[in-house]
Amino acid sequence: MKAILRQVKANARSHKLQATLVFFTLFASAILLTIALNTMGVTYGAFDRLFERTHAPHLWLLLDPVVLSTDEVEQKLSELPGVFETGRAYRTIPTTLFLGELRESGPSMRNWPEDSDPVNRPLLVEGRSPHTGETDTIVLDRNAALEYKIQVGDQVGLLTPSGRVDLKVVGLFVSTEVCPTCFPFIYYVAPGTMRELDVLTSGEDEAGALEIGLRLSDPSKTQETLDAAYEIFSEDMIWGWDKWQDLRSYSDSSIELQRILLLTFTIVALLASGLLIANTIRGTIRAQTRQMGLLKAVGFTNAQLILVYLLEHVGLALIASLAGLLVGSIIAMFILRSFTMLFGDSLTHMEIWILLATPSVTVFVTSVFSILSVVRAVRLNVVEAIHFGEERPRYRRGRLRTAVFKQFPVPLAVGLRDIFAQPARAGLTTIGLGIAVIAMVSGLTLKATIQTILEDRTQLGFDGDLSIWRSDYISEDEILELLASQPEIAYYYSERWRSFQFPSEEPYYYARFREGDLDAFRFPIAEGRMFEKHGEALAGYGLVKNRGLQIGDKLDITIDGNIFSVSVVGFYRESSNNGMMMILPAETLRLALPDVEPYTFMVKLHPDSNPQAVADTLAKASNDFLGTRIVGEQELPVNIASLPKIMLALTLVLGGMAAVGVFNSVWMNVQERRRAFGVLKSIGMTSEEVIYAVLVGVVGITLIAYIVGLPLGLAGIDALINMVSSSIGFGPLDLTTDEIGLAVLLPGIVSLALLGAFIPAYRAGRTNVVDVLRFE
Amino acid sequence: MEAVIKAQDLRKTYNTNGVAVEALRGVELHIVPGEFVGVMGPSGCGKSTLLHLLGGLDHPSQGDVFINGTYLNPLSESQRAILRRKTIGFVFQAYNLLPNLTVSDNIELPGLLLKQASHQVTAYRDELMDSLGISNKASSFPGELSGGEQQRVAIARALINRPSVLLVDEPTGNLDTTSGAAVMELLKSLHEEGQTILLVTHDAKVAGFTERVIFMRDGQLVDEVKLDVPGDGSMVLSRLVELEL
Repeated sequence: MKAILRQVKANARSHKLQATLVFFTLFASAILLTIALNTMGVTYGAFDRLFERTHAPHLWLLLDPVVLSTDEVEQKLSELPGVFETGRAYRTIPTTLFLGELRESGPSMRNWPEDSDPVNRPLLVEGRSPHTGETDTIVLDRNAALEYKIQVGDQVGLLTPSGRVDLKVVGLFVSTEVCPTCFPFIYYVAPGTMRELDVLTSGEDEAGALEIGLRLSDPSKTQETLDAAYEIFSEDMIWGWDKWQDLRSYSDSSIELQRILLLTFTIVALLASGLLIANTIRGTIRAQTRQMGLLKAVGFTNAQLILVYLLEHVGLALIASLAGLLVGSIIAMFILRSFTMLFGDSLTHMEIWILLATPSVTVFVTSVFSILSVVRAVRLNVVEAIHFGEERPRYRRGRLRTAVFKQFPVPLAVGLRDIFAQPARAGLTTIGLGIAVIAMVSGLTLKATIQTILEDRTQLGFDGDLSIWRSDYISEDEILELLASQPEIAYYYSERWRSFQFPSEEPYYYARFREGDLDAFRFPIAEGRMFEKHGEALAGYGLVKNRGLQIGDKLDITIDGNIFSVSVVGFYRESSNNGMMMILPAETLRLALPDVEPYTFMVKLHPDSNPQAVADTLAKASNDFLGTRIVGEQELPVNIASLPKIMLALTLVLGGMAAVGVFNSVWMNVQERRRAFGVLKSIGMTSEEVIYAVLVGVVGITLIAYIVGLPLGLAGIDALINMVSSSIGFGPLDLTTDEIGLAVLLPGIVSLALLGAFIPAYRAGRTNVVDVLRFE
Repeated sequence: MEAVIKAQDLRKTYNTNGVAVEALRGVELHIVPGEFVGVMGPSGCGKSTLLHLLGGLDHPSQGDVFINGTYLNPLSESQRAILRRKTIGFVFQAYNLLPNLTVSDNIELPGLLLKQASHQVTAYRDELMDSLGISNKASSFPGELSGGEQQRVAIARALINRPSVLLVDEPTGNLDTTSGAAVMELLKSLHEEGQTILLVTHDAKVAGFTERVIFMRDGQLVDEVKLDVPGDGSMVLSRLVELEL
């Protein structure tokens, strides 16, 4: 053992260069692994952590605020079997807010919970809660505040029966009640504000619902508790409910896109780093073949040799992984900041298993590759190992090889032949470069595809110049009159949202009920056609996937207790509610609920009209009871808009790793072939020709990586985009390729590889012939 | 007659761990075309260093080197490499063949490097391999050959560009007696065909194959003998004894 340890120390001292190369490779890999594990930890556990921190209810009940009193509700529900804690019952009222330049209808106003309330404590992440008696302050959902670029101290407007009232944002909170990026969001005001601002009624009716949260002894028994609640209250008193399982599912869906991309990123990066580790360790151990022969000659057994190199590399792996864990955790904090903020985590959530996993996995992978490489090296015949070292001759003959040699200038031929001199290493380097090419091709294609969608908003369902929505304080007739009074308006259609169910099934879905000049608008119908009459429907791809629909299927749906039979005549891309929606003629809804008025309108103006002028006129004429937004000005949803950035980060990391991979590979090649370069120079090859020969080999493998990576990248991003698109119910998407970008990519990736190879190539060119001939 | 190799006051100092070691101390050398010159001396006397400086593989610390009238000192590394491929053939003790190239590729390499026509290189390669008795080894790799065969391949490679001078470093150092003798016979016959050869060795028997032997000690030329009967190592040996080398 003493001899082994002495040899390990001697190796560490004498092979500083190789040790450094291995160290940095393992260090970079440990960073990536830490980021990957943090991504999993953050994306998969964030909801549950916030749920517990806010002491969130397992079941929310929405009750009739007129028939039931707050005390009565709290008393009765607390007596239900299985209810562990009952929160206070609060009025929650849908309102219209003016957020910066935008006007949003739907955000729910609720009183800030009392300190004594044991259930649902929204987590205040910035500012303060509203003080009792304040009627001009508001606490916003931080995710909504981020979306609308609102900060603590800003003013937001609230639409009241007497017009717009300004409220000051005094705090930001997060909770699990509404999933991140979901709409409408909830906001809080001080008790008394609702009455003061006169928003408790909508016209003559009581507005909103009485909401109460229940924490259960057994969180899985939400349905049993709901059934028990129905036994206490009549069916028409319970207006709705939210189970924590559904909220978690919505929450998961809302971050599914980032999760898929981040995990894809980390898996690809880990794959690349695995290749890098394999290549580097294999190369550094191979470089010591002669030494292994000498050690065997003085009496080391194979097992002892394996132990020498295993200890050396495991030691390096341990130090590198701990350093990587530290740096990776810091980087992860920044990369995953948007995630952690969604769920109120102030820093990356660090769990003990992540702390243990990074060093364990790094050491394990290093051990495996070390053992595999050493076992192969120690099996060599001692004499052969000492005589040839790592540069054992390979007896491969072939006409192609001879032809290459004869037909090209010597430096070019030497470079091309060197590609095959170490096929395993060249293969691993090519794969590393290929992964970078795949990432770059994917990034370019994704960016081009998103750009196409941005330029053609019809793919997102926005065809028109102006979208208009209303408050409850203006009637349909008044709206239609206003629209008719605008000569710039050429066409419009109206839309009503309403929930529906499939008979005997519990979940609610939403449908858009449309009528108007539908023929004048383009809709994102990917298959089939637009409905023409009552009894026909378009299904969003989320619903198609969820229920396995086919065009021509007959469906029974229940709207407010009325059953309708509809025929699916087409599939469309729906960007809301994970695509689990339908579009139906307004006539269908009217048959069930004759009094439901349209909520939004999409307008097309005559050519050369000014949408902003029309929007301003409508807002003014309606006393701000109509909200407007110019189509095309909406930013893409944050999760889609962030994709090119994520892909850019992926490309940069993988590009960097590919360059490091090339550097390692060429460096080791140059180390091994120092004698050959010395000989080549002794017979008259110039330094420049040696550098050229080394770089030619690199260009060769880069070309192979490009040729293989290009189609794989296109196929990969096609699969990924469609997987993501399918997961959010958006349906299949046609890719847009960036031909110029893909053409520029070739010189780009070649330059990247040359950048990685230049230093070792220069070193090869500077090989001192005398030193090589004398000492090697 | 103009010298193929001319060295004037050639000095080389190595710096090893801060200690200056003088490998060559004012060597004067003049070799004319067609000469077969041997350089003898004990290990560490500077023989190989002299060969490296003459071949432009290394820079002298002081003094001048001329090859075929070209002054080597001001040439860049690349210019010296080009000069080497045109006018100098190297033969090393350890053969220094490229292990992943076949015998024929190894031999052709300097010819192709000089951008000679492929068919011309191939024709001369065949001629050389025939004359060196290795024509049946064309597609073998160096690792598949005996030491003697490898040294013959190295000689063929050194000759492929018809160099003005052949610089040979301990050509028999790694060979058994029979193979060594065969290699020396080969060099002798090349000399007889007019090839200029400078050979470095510490073996008196090998030096005996040359026509002029220069003796070195501690980086300096200490003596020189002309051999009347080439192949007679006894005269070299007796001179070595006299010089206590």
